[in-house]
Amino acid sequence: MSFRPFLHLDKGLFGRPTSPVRADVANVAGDYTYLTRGYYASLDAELEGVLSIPSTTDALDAYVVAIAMEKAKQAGIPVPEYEIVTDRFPEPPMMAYPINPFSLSGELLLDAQALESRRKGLTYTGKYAVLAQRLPHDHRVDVVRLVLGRTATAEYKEFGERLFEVFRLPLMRVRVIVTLKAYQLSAIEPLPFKDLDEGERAVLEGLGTWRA
Amino acid sequence: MARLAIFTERYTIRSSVELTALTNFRLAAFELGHDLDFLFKNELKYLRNYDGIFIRALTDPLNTTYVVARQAEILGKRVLDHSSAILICCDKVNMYARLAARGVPIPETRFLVESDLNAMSASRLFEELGTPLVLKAPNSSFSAYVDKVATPDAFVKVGKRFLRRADRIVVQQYMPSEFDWRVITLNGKVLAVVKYAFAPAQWRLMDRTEGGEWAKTQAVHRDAANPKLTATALAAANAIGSSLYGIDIKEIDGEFFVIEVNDNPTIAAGDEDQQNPEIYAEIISYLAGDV
Repeated sequence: MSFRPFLHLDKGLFGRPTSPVRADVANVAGDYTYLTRGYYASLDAELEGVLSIPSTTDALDAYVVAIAMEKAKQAGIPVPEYEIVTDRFPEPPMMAYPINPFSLSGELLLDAQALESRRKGLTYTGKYAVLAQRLPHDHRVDVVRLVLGRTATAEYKEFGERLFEVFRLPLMRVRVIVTLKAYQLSAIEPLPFKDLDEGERAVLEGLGTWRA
Repeated sequence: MARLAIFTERYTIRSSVELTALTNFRLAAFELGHDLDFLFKNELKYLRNYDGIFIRALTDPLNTTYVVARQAEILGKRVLDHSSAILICCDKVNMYARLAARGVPIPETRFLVESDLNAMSASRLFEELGTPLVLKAPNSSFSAYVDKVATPDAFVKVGKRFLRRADRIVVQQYMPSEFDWRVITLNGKVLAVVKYAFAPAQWRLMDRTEGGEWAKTQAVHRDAANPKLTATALAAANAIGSSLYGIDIKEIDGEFFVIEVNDNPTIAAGDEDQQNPEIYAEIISYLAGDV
């Protein structure tokens, strides 16, 4: 029954006491959404006592944006100004991430009209909360793909490594708010293994093997 | 003196017995020399102002309660429920796997994926576990997404419906009884024991059909409870962690079987507190770090 998307990690890079991320194996399913196959693969590894990444807690810490914001802040990773709201939203533009069992997908709300049209839908008429991130007027949003913290985009080398150290997801699609002063973490989303390109698969295979 | 908060939701406050219980927690805090506020989801920016947080709302790893638990832990606060309790107990696959691994007595249990939902698997499971079988979606609560099936067709139909909610489902041997025990534990200690007597002709705590009834609650003083019952409950709690749990147990011919470990168990005034009203002070003391 077990789904086994595990890469055995290079001991020299991931097995030393000084390694920024210590693990024997990486679950490279890429989508660790709660109760999906990738999530249960991590649970299986946990229950078997394997030193693996990500743990089920890591998966939720990364994908639930309200938790990711707190964790990033504690680790010194810049995040946008944000608040958890049910009705009093900040002034747009903003990124709005629902906190409910049905969707974690963020929505970009650029103006008051967009906010009004989505307010009830995002909160299920006030039943659930939303994490609203204020967007500075002068910004852009980048999407970065990380494979064990590595990215092909040189500009994001250090940021990517730091995100991997803190969130420990082998595959991540990261939404970044870029301002004049900083790269701010907006959200971490699934990057399914099947969506990796050849270069990204080569990065994985350079950092581990498919057999022990 | 500790500054404590109860995180709750409007629907909890609508129930008079739960509202009374919330005020009992507040009174217990005052009597122990602590402050206690109520905190709602649009006030979470003030979470960092408190030393301990008590969650009294329907928990789920994808709703605000889990955010409260994890944020509190990241900020170094004491919190009930522990986030790990929510994570494990809200997913029956995770919960039963841990109970089984620690040898806690549970009904015969199997985990199924989509490829197992066919007539051949059904026949094999009926043969191995008996008829009927109980199917459970992993994230079911309050008896929703829990059904009995007695034919291969029903097994496939109900199983497919539950698989829309998750990649795995749980199938179990059916254990009929007229009541469940509920033992409430915290940090390896029994706080209260109650018996939930099912409504006539029902087999679970909540009959979800139209006009369905909740089970009736009869409390037993924890010191008078069968030691085998409390030992089974503590073994189950220890397999999950040290948070606040409500362990549902069936008693069949003198043997005890754990049906479920619930995080955030109901504590309603006049029900779970009947015989051990000190439950309020004990939980507050834990949150305040007095014990």
